[in-house]
Amino acid sequence: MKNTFDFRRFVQVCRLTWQTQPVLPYIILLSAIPLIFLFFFDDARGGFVSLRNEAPLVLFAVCMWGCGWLYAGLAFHELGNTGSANRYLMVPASTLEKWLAKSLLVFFVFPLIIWVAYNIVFQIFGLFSVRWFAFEYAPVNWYSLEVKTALFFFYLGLPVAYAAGVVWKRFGVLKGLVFICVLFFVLIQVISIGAGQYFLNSGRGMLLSEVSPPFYGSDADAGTLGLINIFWLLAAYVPSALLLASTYFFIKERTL
Amino acid sequence: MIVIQGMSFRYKQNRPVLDSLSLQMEPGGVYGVLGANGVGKTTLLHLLGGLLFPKSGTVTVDGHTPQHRQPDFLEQVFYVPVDFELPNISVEAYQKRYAPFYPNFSTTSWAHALQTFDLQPSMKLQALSFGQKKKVLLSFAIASGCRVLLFDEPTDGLDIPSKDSFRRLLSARIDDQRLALIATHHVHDVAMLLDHLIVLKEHSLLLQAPIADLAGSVRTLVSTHLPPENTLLYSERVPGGYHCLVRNTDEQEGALDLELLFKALQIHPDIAQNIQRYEKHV
Repeated sequence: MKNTFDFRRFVQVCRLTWQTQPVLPYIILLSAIPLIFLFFFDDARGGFVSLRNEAPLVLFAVCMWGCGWLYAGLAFHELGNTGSANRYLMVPASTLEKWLAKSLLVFFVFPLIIWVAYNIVFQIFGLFSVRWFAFEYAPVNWYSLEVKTALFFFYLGLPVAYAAGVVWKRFGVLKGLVFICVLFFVLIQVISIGAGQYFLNSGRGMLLSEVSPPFYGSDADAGTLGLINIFWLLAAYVPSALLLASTYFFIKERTL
Repeated sequence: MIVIQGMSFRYKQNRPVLDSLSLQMEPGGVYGVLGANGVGKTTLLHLLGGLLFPKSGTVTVDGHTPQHRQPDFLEQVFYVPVDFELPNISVEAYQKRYAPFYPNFSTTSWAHALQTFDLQPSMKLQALSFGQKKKVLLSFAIASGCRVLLFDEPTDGLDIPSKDSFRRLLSARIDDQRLALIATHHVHDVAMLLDHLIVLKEHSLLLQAPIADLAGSVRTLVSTHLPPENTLLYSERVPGGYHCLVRNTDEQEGALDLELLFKALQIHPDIAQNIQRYEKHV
């Protein structure tokens, strides 16, 4: 299929995509804000807050993963029923333009909105906590390995949710299974991070090593690390990339 | 403008919906597609709009292959489905949202259509009735400036004055560059608009003819007595006599009731061949 790309039209598609984006993730994001405050205040009142507290990062990660993946899963909500699918598929724009516009929102704009919203909440909490509890969380170091790891898992899972959302109507069971697997996997990682077992300072600079499952430890030999890397490549990176690419073809081949 | 050659389509159940269909439609006409339930009228519109892909054969619309859904094709085709969903915004916002995608969109036609249908730009779409929503969509289709307009049951949900408004708006919009295809069961609502008739039966084409040619070869009449057998093609009892489809042997100017013609074709499909023979004869 000849897929034309016109920048002016792409801007129009971006505008339309923004106007028709799913509302539910925003509602959940807004409802998460009071919960974050509640958690922070309870933590601040507790009197046993450790000097190196992971709560801000964990809350940010949970917020981003939950809302971000939900947003990705609902990105193609128009295709959910015949009436809206009609309208979406017949919008005069190429599949490439439609797919890029959706991807732009899913991969960059919405995560940025979550980040901005979280920072606003964090700053507001800081204003109160210093005054009331003489306590302030150390700001999240956005360049730290922890944040990189959280982002890494977020972007690894994002194409899964994105693709699952596209195929929802046709492969509901598959989506369910994929989602359960991803959530289970993420849950283990969250627990690992929360329990402080996640090794982050093993001395290996490569991201691949940094995200190796915790049970291998930092003393794994080179052969084991090689196998781990191959495992990640085949089990995570390649499927994730393929799923991302598949979303384009799902829209291109989507019929009523 | 629309060329369909040997097109077949079937859904997953493997039951053919359209089988080796061949059709040709030229700009400047309003084509009516008639057929019983499940014969493939909506499927035909979906195939022309690129919303379904044919299993075999070819479809071209204005030189484009619909299933490629190229922007320059989509800019020229507007489809008004029977089931649709409109966003929760105002009528005006709907126009602002979607009109930029149609280079020939006419804001004058849009305003005129809204006024004709008694709709206000500030109205919220979700607060409108089904018929009013349909009128918004019909107004947009007419104002879109698209060369191919596809309508699936366009008069469904419209009140009597609105049906008339729709006919007037559409007939004013169709020029020698444009084509409208209307799939409907409510043939009386659009009969005055149509200048070509397409009848589908058993998933294939039974009849395609200009209305003028049909009217030249057959006509309908209400009579207290049955006409002579050599001219009578089909009749049904009505209060006070018979509603008959007869050969127009003397080329009289007479009414042609498309609904009766359709019923006749459903019961006696061979009438279609006879009609075409009469046309040649005339």
